[in-house]
Amino acid sequence: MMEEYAVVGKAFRSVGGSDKVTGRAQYLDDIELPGMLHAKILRSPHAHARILKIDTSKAAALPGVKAVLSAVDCPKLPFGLDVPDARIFAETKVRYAGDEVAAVAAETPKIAREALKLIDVRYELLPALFSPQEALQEGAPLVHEDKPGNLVKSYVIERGDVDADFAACDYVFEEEFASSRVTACYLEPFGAIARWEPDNRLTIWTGIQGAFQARSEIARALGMNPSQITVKVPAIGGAFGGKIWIRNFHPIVALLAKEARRPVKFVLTRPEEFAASRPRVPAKIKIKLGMLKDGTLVCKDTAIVADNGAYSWAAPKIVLNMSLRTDCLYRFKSVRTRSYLAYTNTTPTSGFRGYGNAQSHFAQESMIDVCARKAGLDPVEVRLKNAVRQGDLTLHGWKVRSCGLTECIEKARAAIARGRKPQADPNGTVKRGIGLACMNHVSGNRAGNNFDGSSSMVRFQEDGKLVLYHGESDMGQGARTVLAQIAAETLGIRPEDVLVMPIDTDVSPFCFGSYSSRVTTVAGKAAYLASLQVREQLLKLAATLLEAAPEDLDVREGRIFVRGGERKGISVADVCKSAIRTRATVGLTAYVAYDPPTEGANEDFYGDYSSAYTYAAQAVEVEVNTETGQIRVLRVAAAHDVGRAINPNGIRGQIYGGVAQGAGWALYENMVYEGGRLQNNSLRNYTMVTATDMPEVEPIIVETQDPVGPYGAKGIGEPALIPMPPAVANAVEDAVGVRIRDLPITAEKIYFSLNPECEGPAS
Amino acid sequence: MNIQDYLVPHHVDECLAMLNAWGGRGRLVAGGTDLVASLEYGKAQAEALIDISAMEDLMGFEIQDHELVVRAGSTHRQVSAAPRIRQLWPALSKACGSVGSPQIRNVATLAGNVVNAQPAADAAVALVALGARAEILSSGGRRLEAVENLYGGLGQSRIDSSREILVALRVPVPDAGEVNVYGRVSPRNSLCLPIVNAALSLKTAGGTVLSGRIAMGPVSDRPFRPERAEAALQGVALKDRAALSEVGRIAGEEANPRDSCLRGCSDYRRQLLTVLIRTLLEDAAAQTAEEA
Amino acid sequence: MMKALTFTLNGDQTRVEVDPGELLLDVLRRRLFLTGTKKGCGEGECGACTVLLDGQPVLACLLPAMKVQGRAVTTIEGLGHEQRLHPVQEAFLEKGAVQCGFCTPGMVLSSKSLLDGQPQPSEDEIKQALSGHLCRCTGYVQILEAVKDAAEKMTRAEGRKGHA
Repeated sequence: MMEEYAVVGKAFRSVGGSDKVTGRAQYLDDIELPGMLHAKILRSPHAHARILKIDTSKAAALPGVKAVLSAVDCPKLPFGLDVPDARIFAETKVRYAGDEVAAVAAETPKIAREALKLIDVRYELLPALFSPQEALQEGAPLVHEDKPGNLVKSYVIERGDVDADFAACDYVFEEEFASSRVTACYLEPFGAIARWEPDNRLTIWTGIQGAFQARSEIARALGMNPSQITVKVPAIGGAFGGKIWIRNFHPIVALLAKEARRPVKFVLTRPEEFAASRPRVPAKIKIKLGMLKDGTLVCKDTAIVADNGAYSWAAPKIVLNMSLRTDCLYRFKSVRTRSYLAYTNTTPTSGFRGYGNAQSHFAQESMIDVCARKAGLDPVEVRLKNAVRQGDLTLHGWKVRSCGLTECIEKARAAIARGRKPQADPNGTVKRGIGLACMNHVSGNRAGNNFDGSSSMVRFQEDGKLVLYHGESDMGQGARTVLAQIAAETLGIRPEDVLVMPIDTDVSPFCFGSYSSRVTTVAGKAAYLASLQVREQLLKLAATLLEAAPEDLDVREGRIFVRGGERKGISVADVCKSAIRTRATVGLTAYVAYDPPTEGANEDFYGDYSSAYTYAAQAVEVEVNTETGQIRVLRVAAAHDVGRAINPNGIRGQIYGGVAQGAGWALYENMVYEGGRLQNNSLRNYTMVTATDMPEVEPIIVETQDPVGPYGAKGIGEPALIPMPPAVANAVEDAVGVRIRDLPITAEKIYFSLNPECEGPAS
Repeated sequence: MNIQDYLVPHHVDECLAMLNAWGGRGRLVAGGTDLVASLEYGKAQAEALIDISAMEDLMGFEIQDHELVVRAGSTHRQVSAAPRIRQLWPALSKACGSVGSPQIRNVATLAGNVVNAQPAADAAVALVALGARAEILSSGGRRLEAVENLYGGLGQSRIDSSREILVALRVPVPDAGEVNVYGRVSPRNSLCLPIVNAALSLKTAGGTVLSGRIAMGPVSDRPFRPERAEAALQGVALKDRAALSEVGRIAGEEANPRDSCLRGCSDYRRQLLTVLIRTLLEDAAAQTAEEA
Repeated sequence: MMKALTFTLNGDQTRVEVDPGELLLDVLRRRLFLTGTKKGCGEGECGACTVLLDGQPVLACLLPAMKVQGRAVTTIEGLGHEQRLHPVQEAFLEKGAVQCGFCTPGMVLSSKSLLDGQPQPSEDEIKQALSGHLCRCTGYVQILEAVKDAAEKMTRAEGRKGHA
């Protein structure tokens, strides 16, 4: 039996929710500053071209224009992540259709837009590369002249003796899978406001996932010190990994504001969001898998070729995840992965819910079904037989401290089997099938020996209200709610009495930000530890007031009392008043910087890098029209090992939302390019699921009580998206016997697979 | 957009006078949903907007003698929600309910759907199949034209809404034995332009098709009528599934959908039309069976 | 030439000078500082800018402001405030239907409009009523639950009023 808590595991209204339902929540575009100008960015219409000339004089002369910038006006400091190759504006050439060429700040958005039309840019077109396969060919044109072979990064990771193990296998199968380019497509367009302060400091308002990372990157691009910059985070209208890192517009808006000596706002238009945001890294993944007759998975050899786009952001890290993580889902004896990440003349790719893990799961979890079917085995039984378990040390050195994978598989299988519809309709045109896919993920991810934790500061006010400072953005996933619940549980007060402060890098404790599904686990732990310290201070002072020993005291619902003598007590508010408004000089404040007990991976990528790994199995039922190939996802049973549910309503929300995004990707989300130009740059034709498309979803929460996470909790941000595409692919094969290996699984692809005599589209 | 004035006439004469006064630089706006986007992105030009939605004589719809008269101010929602229209013109009702979103259907008008001249326009496809005519008013007088003749190329209407007013759409009342149906295929269920759509209007007697009109989109620069498939409909027994399939096959063959990286390749879209037309014929058969 | 626009906004008679081609969304957000109406696309696709015009949901990003002359507009600011939330707002909080909140004002307004006309909608009617709103966070499930919950509570409250 798990311990019952007063606040943890109970449904609470989300922190900030009432501001959102009343329209008072302030998102970036809702902020108006006195004298604020509006910025627009001129982007390259070409995928690859030399810039012969940029003449901004006419734009600068337009009444109402207050600043015009292009590369000549800006610092030329490289910025970016592992491979810093970005500049504020394109300098000698443009590398994708959407590349920043110039920018304008004007009195109104309309004037700024007019001014863009007056900027004269001459280009000389260059041959462009649209796929990593082309880019890696000998003699291909170079995207960056100083990056030979267009190679951004490659990895070779090997554990055990793969070749010897293949030789000993009963079956060896090989297949290739491909994932498409999809975008986070949060509802609130990304943007920033910049204002220079009197002491030559810079304030940036931006709805970003990691405020401190943003601060250091903006500083790097501008050649400033991070402490000269303040990043403030307003309400964020969704992010899903698409707002982790800064964009070029962050330094651009700062420089425009400097030039104009006025605050400047920039918000992406929706077509710009599509053309110039950071889609998920598309990859071709070839898997060779060796197994025994009894279904034991023995070894795996994987080759990955991935598309970085024109500039490098998180793609190297994402390809690393893609190259490792699925190896730890089952008990493989040996694995080898060779991965190549190449520059192309397309929009730079980066993170979106799953951070590489979603792509490799599509490949591996499709592959398991293909292999099991070929071997005449039940794919679900194969998964159960090989599933990683609590206490395992995986072949990449992960320590599996808690693991509910087996339970997830069993529960998802049972749930989808209940209430199944007939496998075919009487007229024979509609067929139905079920499929299951698993996933593992992390709750935080340590890079090397660096800090992978979070910091928290909690402080009681004189009225007994608690103020909690942190630095992990709430993009809607409910970070603030979970932090408030953890603090309230630990301190014995009501969550409503916790004020979770907005993020301001001058005030907030140092944090990395909301990614890697890490906030509940690491920021929650920091809040827990800080709350414990304050609890100690609180009880110590209460003990003197109550004339009792601190260890005999307990606190519940805002009241401190002597255990066993419940009637003798004092309210938390009264103790706070005594601490602050008397000469007791008790701070009732704690600042904790927490770093999880993991060592991180070594240079060979071996090592335990997350304090809590998460597991899930999702089963789906689909319906396929054999005449048209049209497919509907009817039901989803989504079983997730969350360690311990802190906020069950929030977990359900993450599962439903992940299923929706995963179903959209599985069925139709796809950024389609012709000649390097995006053909669907609108919500009209980039199709994500609507209320009328959503399948019936049964969320199943599996609790394994993680030994490290706060109250046993693990992350749930990314997982629910990850198994959807392979589960749908597996269900389609179950229904109609065709295997779709490239996402999305469109009706058209199914139709042509069912009718191989018909000639499909030339692709 | 550089709009200098916004005018609200109260009757058609005043409206025509305003159009004349602006000499081709004024544009009629009904719901405005398509026009606003076009103006915003520079795809349309206008210096004055003349809003027809306050004109009493363009409001509502009614059944007169042998026609349904849908006046220019009628929205998709009004038409799709009207029980009488749902009963007699289910194709029109369903097509109007498929356009855009509820918010768009609350303001966008059928007349606008026709004037905007998009080949995928759901309501226009239904109107063509139903043999609807448009009543157009200009300073030169009043004229009636078949909706299918109003197209002058992709997205080009032969109605010049800087000089003319489409005052009403007139749809014949179905006779006994006449049925009409509409359907579409789209990747998702809402907020989606169709990959293909189609409407059929059939005259039947005793379970046999006497004649029929088929309109399909977006497979041409206008709602497309497959002549051979229409000819093949004559004399078909609605119970004869093979014959219905054959009509579908011919319609698919006659259509010439483009290869589209978003909507699918031509062969696939042809297959969808084949299945859609057959399915709609089956729906029509079910309807006549119900009525009989 | 600026035009004088007079309309009822959240129950109050409002007069504002606008450009003749100006969109309702810009008038609400930039001239009247009612920023609860969101701009998610500006192309009439996402539904975040939904407001009620004479009680019916419409898209403020596609509506010339002059179209509301003499008519009644309700924005999210007109629905309820923190101390006295509309039952739909209460239900959204109760069911966890709010994540990032960017689609929420529009969703709430379409839901209110639905329940005003159809106090006991079917699941399909709710889905249809919300089919013009994109939400990237929630997968819509808890939003549908919230609308059902609000419908039940409002019907029960009506019933009590009827008996009193």
